[in-house]
Amino acid sequence: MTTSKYQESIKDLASADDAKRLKALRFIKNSVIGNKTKKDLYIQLGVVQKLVDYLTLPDATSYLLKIQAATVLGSIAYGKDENVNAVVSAGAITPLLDALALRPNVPVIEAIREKRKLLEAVTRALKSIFTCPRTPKDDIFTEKHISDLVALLDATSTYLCQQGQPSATSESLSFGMIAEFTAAVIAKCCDTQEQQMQLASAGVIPPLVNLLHSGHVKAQEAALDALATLCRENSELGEIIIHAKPIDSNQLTTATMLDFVRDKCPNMRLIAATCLTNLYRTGIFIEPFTDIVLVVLPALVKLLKDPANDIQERAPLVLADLVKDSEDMQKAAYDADAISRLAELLASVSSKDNDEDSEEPIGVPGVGSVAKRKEKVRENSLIAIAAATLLKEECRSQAISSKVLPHVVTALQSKYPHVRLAACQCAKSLSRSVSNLRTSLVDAGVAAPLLKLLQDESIVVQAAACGALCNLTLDFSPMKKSVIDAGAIDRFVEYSRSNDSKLQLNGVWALNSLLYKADLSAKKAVMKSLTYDALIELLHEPNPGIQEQALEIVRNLVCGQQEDIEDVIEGIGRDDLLDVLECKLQVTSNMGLEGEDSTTMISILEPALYIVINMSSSSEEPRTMLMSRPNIVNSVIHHLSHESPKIRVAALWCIINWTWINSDHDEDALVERINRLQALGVEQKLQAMEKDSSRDVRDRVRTALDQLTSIDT
Amino acid sequence: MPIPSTNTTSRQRTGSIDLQDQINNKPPMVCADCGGNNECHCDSQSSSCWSSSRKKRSKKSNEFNPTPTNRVSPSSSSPGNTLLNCRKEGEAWVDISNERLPNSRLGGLYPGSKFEGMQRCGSAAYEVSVDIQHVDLKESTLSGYLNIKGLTAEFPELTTFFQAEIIGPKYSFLTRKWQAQQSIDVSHWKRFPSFQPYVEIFNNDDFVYDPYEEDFIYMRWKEHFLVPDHRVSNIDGASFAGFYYICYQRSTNEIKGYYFFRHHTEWFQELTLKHVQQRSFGNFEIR
Repeated sequence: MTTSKYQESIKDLASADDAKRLKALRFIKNSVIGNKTKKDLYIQLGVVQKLVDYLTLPDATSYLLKIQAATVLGSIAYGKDENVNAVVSAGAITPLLDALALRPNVPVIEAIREKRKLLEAVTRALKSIFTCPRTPKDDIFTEKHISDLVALLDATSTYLCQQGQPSATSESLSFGMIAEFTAAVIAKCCDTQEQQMQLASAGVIPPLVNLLHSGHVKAQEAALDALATLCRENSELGEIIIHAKPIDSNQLTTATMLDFVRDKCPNMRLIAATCLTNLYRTGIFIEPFTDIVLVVLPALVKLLKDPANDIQERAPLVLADLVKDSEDMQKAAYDADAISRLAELLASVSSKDNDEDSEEPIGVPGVGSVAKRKEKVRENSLIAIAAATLLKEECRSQAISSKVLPHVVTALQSKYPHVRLAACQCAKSLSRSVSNLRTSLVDAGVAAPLLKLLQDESIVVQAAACGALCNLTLDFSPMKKSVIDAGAIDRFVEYSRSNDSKLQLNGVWALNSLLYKADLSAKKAVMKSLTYDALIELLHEPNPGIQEQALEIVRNLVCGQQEDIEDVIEGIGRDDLLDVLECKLQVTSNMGLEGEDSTTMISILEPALYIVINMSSSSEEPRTMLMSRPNIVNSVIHHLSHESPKIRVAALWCIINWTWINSDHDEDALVERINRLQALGVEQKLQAMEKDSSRDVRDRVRTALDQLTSIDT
Repeated sequence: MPIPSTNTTSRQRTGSIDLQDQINNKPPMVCADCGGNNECHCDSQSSSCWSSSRKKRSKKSNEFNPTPTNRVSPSSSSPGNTLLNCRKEGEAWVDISNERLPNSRLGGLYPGSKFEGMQRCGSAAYEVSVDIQHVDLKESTLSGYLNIKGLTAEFPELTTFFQAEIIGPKYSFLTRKWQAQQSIDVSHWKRFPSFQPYVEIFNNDDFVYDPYEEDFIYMRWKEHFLVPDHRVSNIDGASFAGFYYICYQRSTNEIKGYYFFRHHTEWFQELTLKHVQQRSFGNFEIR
């Protein structure tokens, strides 16, 4: 027995003889390139640290060694996250970045030429390392490293552009690779806005724009990718990018990118489409930006059919980003046939039974990644369908007629949590329709799997399933009964107590949906589970979204007959209820609401007013109760002049219900109320409102005035 | 020296970061024209350095189209402006969009609103009640249940689900489907006295009826399936293959309509409904 040649090579790395070391390195390099097992083996043998040590040697003495070391490190780091981890843990990043430094006091091109082979190897290695999403990026963001990266990018891009046509000289190819890998590092390393701005300040954008015109395909792709990263949610940089002009052309960057969207290479098309989508999403384009609809959207739709690489994983997500917040884009997607394509894609990776359960024999090469890819395509196409059907009924109809529902139902039962989550989002989008709830959704049986997900191991999936159930539990949904029978009320109540804000909001929302148009016994059943004490707490939540839903719950509880109202007064307590109403009706700034603005305030005010309206719609006692608080009366009168028409209408309805004449009613009490309101100047206010800008207001005022003036005082 | 405009977007950024502090108190300035860092060598004060001149996308906000409350607080990792494509590995969002879908109303047309009246067919008359389920003014549609009593011997009452197109910017008076040509449209719309002013011009290219401030709202109501069981497609003696031409008057809260089905022997079956006064209003919002 003796040491293997692999261990020998490791020993030789420590040799004092340079020639031996070089030979060993070459041997290692040839072993690992393209060979997973050898990579793992060498990592085990501890080669990584030694290679990193080599990188710290000076260029002058160890140039060749460093090239080999960088190459081997790059190869080891290529393609497998665990290996990248090993490389990073050995401290490879900083020495690699340091190796980018160029000799000062020499023209940059010369400085690059001097060490171009090393730069190639180093940048390639850095690219592999940063392709892994978990690699920490901080080391890049020192002034020195950034400026080195940018200098490299700048010089190589200029060189390539000046060449005119891409030439095949080894120097040109080398410069192309350095540019490509550097741009790729930029693309991968930007996580936060600060990092984006740091890179931009260091001047990274103009060379990237130049690279787009370099004629080197891979460098162009990498540059597009980098620009897409830089303008991600960053309108400032987006502006700079679209106005930047390359050194050799007058063409606008967006025009260049649109050309790339029509490129013959699908990957290029996808990256260009991603870049334009990111730019579009920052809101910087002057509307309408027709090319987004005419060029980018159809290109993305076409890419959905391209089986190459991971196109079908990525394209749906870019499409989703493009349409998710814009009704116009969703309509455009419908016109471009995106939805049926997405449905086809979804169908191609779904199957009748959950074939995830069929175990592939171990040892079949590449099987793991095929399954993983299918799962990703499935997840992302579900997300894209969910995005495209968020707002428009015709989009939902098209999705349903493209037969997505069976696949959604299967996906709700997937063993992959992200697929289940995407299926929930899809179900929710499709459920935003009275018609769908009554027909295709009930037929497809979405209720049962969604209910099951309320017990999912993942809180996020639970919350998303609850979101979809909020719609399934509305009055016009034939699935409402199944939801209740499955015991979901208790679950929603549990959610309403959760610390997770999304879960809590969806839980409370679902309870509210349940209570809309509910009869007294249904209301009692819900409140038995929730309890009025818990409801009161929800009314005092600082989160305005929760407060709003809690108020809507009260509104729905008191919508009905005398018994319904009495139940609530008894449950909350007369004074507590009045206190809450006083408080909510006086909503002004400094109310301690998170994220307050006028929309938030209206969202609290409106249901509060409707609670007053509903409580005043039936018997005498609640009306009297409400008016016993001057603050409530004054607030209502005050809101008659609110800037929002729907608040004015609501305030009017309070007045109407406080003054309506019914033979059952106590006439004395009515007269007293009318006199009181008169004394507070309501008649004058109402008269002014006859000229209100809102028709709804004007239509209501007459009734109020007639009632108010019907009794001679 | 051009000064960077700080407010270049109508959207709120996720993460308010003071750039000044980031980069040693030097304003980050990269001139798009000359590529100069921290110093612009362009001689013009030209706009392209820091383009403040592009128009912002304005979100039209009005009563029917409230600005969505999707202002995301910087600390939450929730959608708003953020991109699905850029989620961190393993990051999972409950919602992919925060945009809300509040209910809308147009006079007596609101979810939960009821109308009652009669439908007359020759000498026969049937009690009808309509129950509005959902109103979406952005899409110019609403939906509801239409209940008819005594239409057939077998069923003392029948309820259908109908979808309404509100005539306005999205739907024109011209039906162009359901076997109703222009002449049919004319002969039906004309029956509403309020339509007089539009008889000649409703087909013009530049004519658009704007319902929001008008007293009269015109609609087409199309029944689609039965409630509760949508799978029942055939009822002896009853059909909902046609549609209604509808005129709703806000000031009187009355609805008048005419049923049209090409193959019917008796056209112009008249529907008259009055809004049922309510004093109590529940609410829901589609999630």
